[in-house]
Amino acid sequence: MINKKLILFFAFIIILILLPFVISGYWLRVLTQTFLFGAIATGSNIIIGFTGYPAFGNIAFFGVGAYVTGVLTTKYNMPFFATLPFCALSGIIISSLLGIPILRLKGHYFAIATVGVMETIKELVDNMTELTGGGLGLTLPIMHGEPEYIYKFFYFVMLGVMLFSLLILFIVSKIKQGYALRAIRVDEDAASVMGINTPLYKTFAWAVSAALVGITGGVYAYWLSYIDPHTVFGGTYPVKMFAMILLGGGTTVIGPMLGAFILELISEIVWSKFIAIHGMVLGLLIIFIILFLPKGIFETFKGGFSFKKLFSNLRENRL
Amino acid sequence: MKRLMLTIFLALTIISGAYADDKIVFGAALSLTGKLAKEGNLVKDGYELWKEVVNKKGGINVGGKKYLVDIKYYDDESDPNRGAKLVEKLITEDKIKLILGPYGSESVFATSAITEKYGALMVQGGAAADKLYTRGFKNLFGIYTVATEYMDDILEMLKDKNPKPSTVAIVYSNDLFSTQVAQGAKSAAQKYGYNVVLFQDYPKGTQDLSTVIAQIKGKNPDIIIGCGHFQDTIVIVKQCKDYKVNPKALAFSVGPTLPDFVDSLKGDSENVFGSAQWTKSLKYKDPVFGSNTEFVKMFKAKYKEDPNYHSAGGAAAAVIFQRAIEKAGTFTDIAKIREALSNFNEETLFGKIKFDSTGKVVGKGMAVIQILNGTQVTVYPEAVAEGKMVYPKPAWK
Amino acid sequence: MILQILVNGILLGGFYALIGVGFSLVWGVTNIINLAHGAIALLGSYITYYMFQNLHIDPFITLPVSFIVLYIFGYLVQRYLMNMVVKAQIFMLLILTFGMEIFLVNFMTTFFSADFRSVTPDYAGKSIEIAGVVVPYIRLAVFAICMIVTAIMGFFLEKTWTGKAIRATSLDLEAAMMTGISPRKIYSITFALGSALAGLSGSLLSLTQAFSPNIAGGLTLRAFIVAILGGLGRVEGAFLGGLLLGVIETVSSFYIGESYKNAIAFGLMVFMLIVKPSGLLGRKYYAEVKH
Repeated sequence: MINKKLILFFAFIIILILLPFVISGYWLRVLTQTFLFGAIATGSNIIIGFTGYPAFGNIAFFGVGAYVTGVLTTKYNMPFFATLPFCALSGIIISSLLGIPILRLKGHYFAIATVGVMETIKELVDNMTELTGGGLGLTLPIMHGEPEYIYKFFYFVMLGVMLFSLLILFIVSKIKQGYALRAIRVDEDAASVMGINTPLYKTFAWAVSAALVGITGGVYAYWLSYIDPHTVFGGTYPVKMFAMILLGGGTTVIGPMLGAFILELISEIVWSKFIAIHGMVLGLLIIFIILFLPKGIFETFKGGFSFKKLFSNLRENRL
Repeated sequence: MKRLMLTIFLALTIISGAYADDKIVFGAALSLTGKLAKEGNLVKDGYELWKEVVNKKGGINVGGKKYLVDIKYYDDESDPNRGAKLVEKLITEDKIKLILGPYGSESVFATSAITEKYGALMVQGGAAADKLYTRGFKNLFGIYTVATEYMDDILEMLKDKNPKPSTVAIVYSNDLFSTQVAQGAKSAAQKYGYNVVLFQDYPKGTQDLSTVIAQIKGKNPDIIIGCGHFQDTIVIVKQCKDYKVNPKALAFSVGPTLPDFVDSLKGDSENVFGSAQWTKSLKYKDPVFGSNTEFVKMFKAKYKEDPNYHSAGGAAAAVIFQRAIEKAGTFTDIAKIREALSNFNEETLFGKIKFDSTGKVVGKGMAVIQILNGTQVTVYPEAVAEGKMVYPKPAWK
Repeated sequence: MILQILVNGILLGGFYALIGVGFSLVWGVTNIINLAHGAIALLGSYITYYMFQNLHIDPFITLPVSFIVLYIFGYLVQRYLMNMVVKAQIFMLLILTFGMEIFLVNFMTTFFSADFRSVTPDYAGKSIEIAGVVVPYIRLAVFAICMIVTAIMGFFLEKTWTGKAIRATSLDLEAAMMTGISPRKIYSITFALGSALAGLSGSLLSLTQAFSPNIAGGLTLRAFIVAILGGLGRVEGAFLGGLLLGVIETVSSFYIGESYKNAIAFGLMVFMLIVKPSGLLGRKYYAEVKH
């Protein structure tokens, strides 16, 4: 069973690697965007799914990463790849500093505190006009070369970032620190009693998560070549990220990435047919996921589809 | 997993339909939903009216043969990134290289980078940021007077009025467009000898400006210039009245030109000045519609309401594109059409259009409107003024 | 001038209190953070707008309509949607309300358009001047209504059976159930009240500023800050939090700069969460009790 899954996974990766040689620029872009979400969802899942801390405002690190790359490439003429470690580092620093006070909060309070952090950073970036361009946004140096080459370049970089996030998530799920995180998710007090240094592990989880999301932000900035505070901090990103994690299953390694693929490709193929009402469709879809598939599409339908399973969540959680 | 791969392959097999050869197809990725839905749809109305009128006349004349036109639309959901993706789709999937611009500086900024990369052409009548033209692009042409020149005409118009205004307060939203308008307004004010007593920004989309209004009141300026968006403009007018701030002139970059302005403010909108890219009363001739007046008439017949500058900008951009194609004598040779655009010098419903080497329109100028008895009245340039302006503004009732 | 700015802050704070009180009530009692709160408030704005624009009904007379319509709306939402999954992990409910928000905002954009609207009756902008401080009548009326509504809410929760049942449920769900309180009903009533109060604040909002479906998120965030500052589920807490937020916004924008006011408001919220998550007047930390 494991082997079969593994073979499927590698076949999938190989297809993704070969795809750019047969598809056009538009679909390259769609897939690059999908990888972007895959990377964000996978990276955020370490704190959200594994540790059970709903970091709703985790997109803050995406924005920070985008601005780190933006500022370093424009003001300090740093080459693009050299900026990525700084993206990760800034995510680690911010999350570690904030983690100590904020990770004491639970549930809603934590979720909201992260939103507060995201909004605060956004407003600060908006006001640091000297460094960030403020509301004017920041234009990054445009990569030179043929469009074909540039699109393949970002396709592979983004794919790399996503797979890297996936690898980190996989490693975390296997090492003993990963088990500590799961213990925290299931019962934090019990974990603490068992001798797990919960604040340390939680901060570790958040820092790893922040680093991965930060790198993704850095790549995004160079890819789009124009960033402004209102697009990189917030927008529909947090909710899409959450929907992907839930759809794919937050307790699994590969779930969030699959969630990203499903949601992005569905939105691309189906929703373009419902131009006027696709926003409403997105809202309804999220409500549907929460009502019927909160454990993720794969977990819920393990061993085959049935309507009974579709309603199991309602049976369990209704008042 | 298998299903997933199937989905991907399914996605790949979706190829757009081919178009017949006797049609010229333009592409446009507009904001039909989301926060710019209103403006996006208005621009689309302009494009659609142009298409209808041109096709009624038999189409675009290219080297003696007439071609009907069609426009392929996508919705960018008011997301510039998505807009870029869709323009890429227009170019690579639909094989369209003649792109009509979206509405909004951010969207034009993002999508024009794509047209530039693929050597496609974009003519846009929907964005005014200066930043669009400082990237060395060759394939972008814009017909909006740029943001930094937005308030120039209004300040020039007011400078010799009696009683002579001497102090100006400028408040602006801290986004790309508004900041540039404000910076332009500041240097124009200095150019015309005003004293700028307040130059204050506020967060984009703010809900309350009472502190800024209190600061303005403290300076008691002759002119208040607001550079922001519709909602901030409403808040500024309401709070100016609330706190009895009575300047000699109250002028905005965005707001008074929209019909909703009077609807929202009723009597409080009286005597407010607005800067306009275009107004209904301008007397320009037009190669497709005959004249601006004719355009307004046709628009009214089709949509049962008066056009505003968004729709006019869309229609004018399309007209200019058409004229350039006709002059170039080809709709496939992008280099030749670009050449025709670079040398463009014709009167259209939007004004006398000429582009500089960066692709931005030069010398078009802005009209000034004032709300008088609940309607927008063009008061400047004086040659086409529909009514006499009210100055100084009477105190709030 | 500082006196004027303080008065501005207090008047603005009255509005913030009203938008925060319903949000805080729902959060405190049902432990649901209703991210659709701002969108529901805007439904109230549109009710007032259309009644004023099409039927020429005075905006203040539309308040009860707004209240009743959104009460029913809120009741149905809680009864037939939220109650279905209310025992799930709390952040599932958070996402659920976000889904509702997206749906409502796009619904309003589709049917009411993305245009900015505002309601301006004849008497708008009239004001009195006391010792150099200008007090606009409409803002004063909004402030008064907020005070009255808050007082009524306080009375309702203290004195009526339903109010007591709501408070009991918020303190201990299981114990409340044992005394014969039906949580299904109490949750629905609480959410209905929260929505109705949101609707009221939305109706009043249409008088002082321009609104469109896209400002929903901003309103929700304000409600958030008010609830956190004041403490959950407490009417007087929300009132205090609202006033505080109003004054902090205007004063900080005067002394530090208008464009920093949002950063300060959010920074303050994070700070409050860290040092005293139960808010200024807060009591027991509900999330800790439940999970």
